[in-house]
Amino acid sequence: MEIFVGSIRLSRIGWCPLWIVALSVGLLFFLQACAPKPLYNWGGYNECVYAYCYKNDPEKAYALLSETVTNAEKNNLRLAPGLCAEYGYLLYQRGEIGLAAQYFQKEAIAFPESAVLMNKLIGRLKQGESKETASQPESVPAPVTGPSGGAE
Amino acid sequence: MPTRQVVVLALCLGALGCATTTKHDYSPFYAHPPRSILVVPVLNDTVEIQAPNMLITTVPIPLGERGYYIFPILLTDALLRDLGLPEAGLIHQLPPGKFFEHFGADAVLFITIKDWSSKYVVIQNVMVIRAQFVLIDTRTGTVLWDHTQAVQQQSGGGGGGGLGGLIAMAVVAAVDKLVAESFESQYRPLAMSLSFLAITTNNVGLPAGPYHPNHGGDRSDFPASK
Repeated sequence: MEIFVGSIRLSRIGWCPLWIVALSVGLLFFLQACAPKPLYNWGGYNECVYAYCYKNDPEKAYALLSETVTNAEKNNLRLAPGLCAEYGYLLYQRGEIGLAAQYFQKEAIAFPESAVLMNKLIGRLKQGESKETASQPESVPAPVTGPSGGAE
Repeated sequence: MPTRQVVVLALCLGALGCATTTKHDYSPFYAHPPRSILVVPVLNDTVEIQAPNMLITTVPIPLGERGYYIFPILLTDALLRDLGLPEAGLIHQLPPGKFFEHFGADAVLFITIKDWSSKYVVIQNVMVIRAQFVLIDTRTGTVLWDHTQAVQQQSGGGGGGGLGGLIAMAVVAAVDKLVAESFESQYRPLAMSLSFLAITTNNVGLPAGPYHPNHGGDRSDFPASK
């Protein structure tokens, strides 16, 4: 009796939510079909930027990006735009100038859009190396153009 | 019965209509299609001081996956500091040509947080984030894209009937606000969906960029109104 009543109630109101159920299922399939495969390997980049910007934890940021880059190189994955350059910057911060320049170079080759900036930075690194004076501890190898923004 | 279905259908269509009324004109965008985008520090119109640093971390992936070259966030920030521009307020006032000169970027993305709040509505915390995304061509200063996106989410929720339930809900909501981690755990997913929706939604987001397989094939989704 109870079950019977229950089934009647279900069947009576069932048709209306069925619309909603069908719509939701359809929407799910639709979204799944729409979701494309990622273009790039991002690895732990999101967490890296989050650790650096939000958590103020450069060590963790470095560890995450280092792992991401190493893993991509090992497995021949296409690294997302900016990742090699970002890694180069974190390497520079740790005093690994030669490696930093290498990764700036990798970025410029993988993404020609970055070449202007990367070449500026590489030039700056080389200048710094030839001077061999750590008199100006800058946070980054600043572009050749100064703060006044003189045209190149 | 059929009339009821018609009414429901009409309501659905009405909702859809509302969702797509704010159409953008993409002709300036197609006149200066960018390959590379520089994301600069986020400007904050709210009192939530942690908001800009959280929001900027959510931008690179949707933007990169949309097919654009994205300049590295941390390096960009450091370079701007070296140029004597440590604050978003100063950076957002810079002539767009400077970003081309210093970074070689085709376009610069200015993001301004308009609302970042948690409102107590009846028995639920409703979190709201609203931000304006403005993409500027660095060579001409043309506004290529200007879109304000809002997202909101209700926390708490769930049943619990009667007055006792209401009081319990109120307590939960109050405690929610006090937990230090709640800001992070609640707002971070919301911030992610904000950036994702702003960048990828048809008619209001960004057309697929040069690295995207659909580049040039989505003009009907992002129409120029000419």
